Amino acid sequence: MQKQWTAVIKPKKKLLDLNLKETFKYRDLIWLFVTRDIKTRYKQTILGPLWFVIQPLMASVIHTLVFGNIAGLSTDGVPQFLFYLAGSITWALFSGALTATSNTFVGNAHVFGKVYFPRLTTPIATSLTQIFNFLIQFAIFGVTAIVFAFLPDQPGFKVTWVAALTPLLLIQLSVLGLGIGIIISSLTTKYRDLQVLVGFGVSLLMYLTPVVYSANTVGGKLYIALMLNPVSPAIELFRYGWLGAGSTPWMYWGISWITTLVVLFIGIILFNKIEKNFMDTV
Amino acid sequence: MRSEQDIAIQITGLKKMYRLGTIGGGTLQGDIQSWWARVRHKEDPNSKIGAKAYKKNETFMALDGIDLTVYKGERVGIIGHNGAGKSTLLKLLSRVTGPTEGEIKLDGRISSMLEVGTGFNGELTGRENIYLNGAILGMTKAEIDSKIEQIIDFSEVRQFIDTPVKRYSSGMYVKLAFAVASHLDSEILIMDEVLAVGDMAFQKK
Repeated sequence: MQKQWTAVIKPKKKLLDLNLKETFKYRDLIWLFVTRDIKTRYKQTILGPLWFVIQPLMASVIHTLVFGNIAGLSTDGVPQFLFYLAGSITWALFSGALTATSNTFVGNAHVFGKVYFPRLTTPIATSLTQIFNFLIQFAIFGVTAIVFAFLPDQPGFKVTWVAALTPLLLIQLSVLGLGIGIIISSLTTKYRDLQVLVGFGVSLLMYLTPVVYSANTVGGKLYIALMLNPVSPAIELFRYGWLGAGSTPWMYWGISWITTLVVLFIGIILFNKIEKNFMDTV
Repeated sequence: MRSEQDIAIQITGLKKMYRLGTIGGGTLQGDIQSWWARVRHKEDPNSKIGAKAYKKNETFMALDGIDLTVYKGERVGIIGHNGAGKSTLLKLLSRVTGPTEGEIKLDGRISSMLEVGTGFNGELTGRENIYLNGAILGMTKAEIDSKIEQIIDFSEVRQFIDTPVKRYSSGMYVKLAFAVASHLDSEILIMDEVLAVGDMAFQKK
């Protein structure tokens, strides 16, 4: 009779051995990581979770001042503050997922070096935490929008049916951030350069994404280049949905989904290849 | 005669190879520089002067073809001098790093105590850390729910269980960590010099 083994440890050869089933078995762990991150984020701070609220509001104030008033960039006729708030919370979702997951291997080396669990649980939990942060900030956005709707002398805005796509947009932005993040984290096990790159790369990328300006102000070939940035269509659609401003680049949204899935796929393959032996090189 | 069914761990032809010298310069630029120098048969600008140059294929076999069968109910101790590969073998068994060749077959849930308290977060309370650490070690939330009282009793820190563990004394910290690890109900338990925990009374447990 053939013996049933619980586990067989072999040198990993197959490229597509993605280990997703096992990752799903550890879903309780993912959940505990998420609650840990949320609980410990603002421990021993005076304002605590209020920081979730303050960050996007402050960013929008500065954006309104610099890009709205000094530079005088068009916001497609909707209140500037709302325009920038919508942009910064969606951008924060993407960049937060990217930055936080890009440190997976190096940041968790002390845990990974002592005990085995599917490594993919860590970046997944990190991205879920980012979605949680986004939902809080989204509520702030909602409150601000209602306030603006009742303010006199403010340009109007409207919610369109595109807003119903919001869940898809959120998933896309966090999956994209996760995908790029785990690619970077896999490469940083050997090359620490990328950690430096992430810091300023993300802040530069923001200017190549219509966060502080409207895609409509960009024309011709530059528009196409802008829209090939997979983050752009999602942010444009989010803003169109909730404020009725900007464009609905459906075709580019389709392309950006393809990019997102390809990035995720490459990310998971790379991550799985690295996770097995990274303790020897990190 | 013990049959194949009674085998808990079967290791066949296990090898683990490490490369000698430094693995890359740590930066992409350095690696490209070294590679470009090698291509032109020039001296590597990143190598230390006078340092012994390790060739690319100079390796060290930490484990070289290990065969080992452990039956259920057996207790096996591995003794050897420094650098014999004891810890490497344990790392491979607990899947922290992968083997170069060969395979390990396991029957039963495995838990390794290379260190206790892995993943403890100082900001979280004792109770929260039991859940987190338990899950890292492979327990589900339901399992921990059913054992939490036992774990707290075993740890002897019930009074402080809802205090952040960063306020714990080091003894309390380790006792809590050990309590979680010892409630894993695993068929295979791997330990690496961790049993020096707690005071006399606690060690007897």
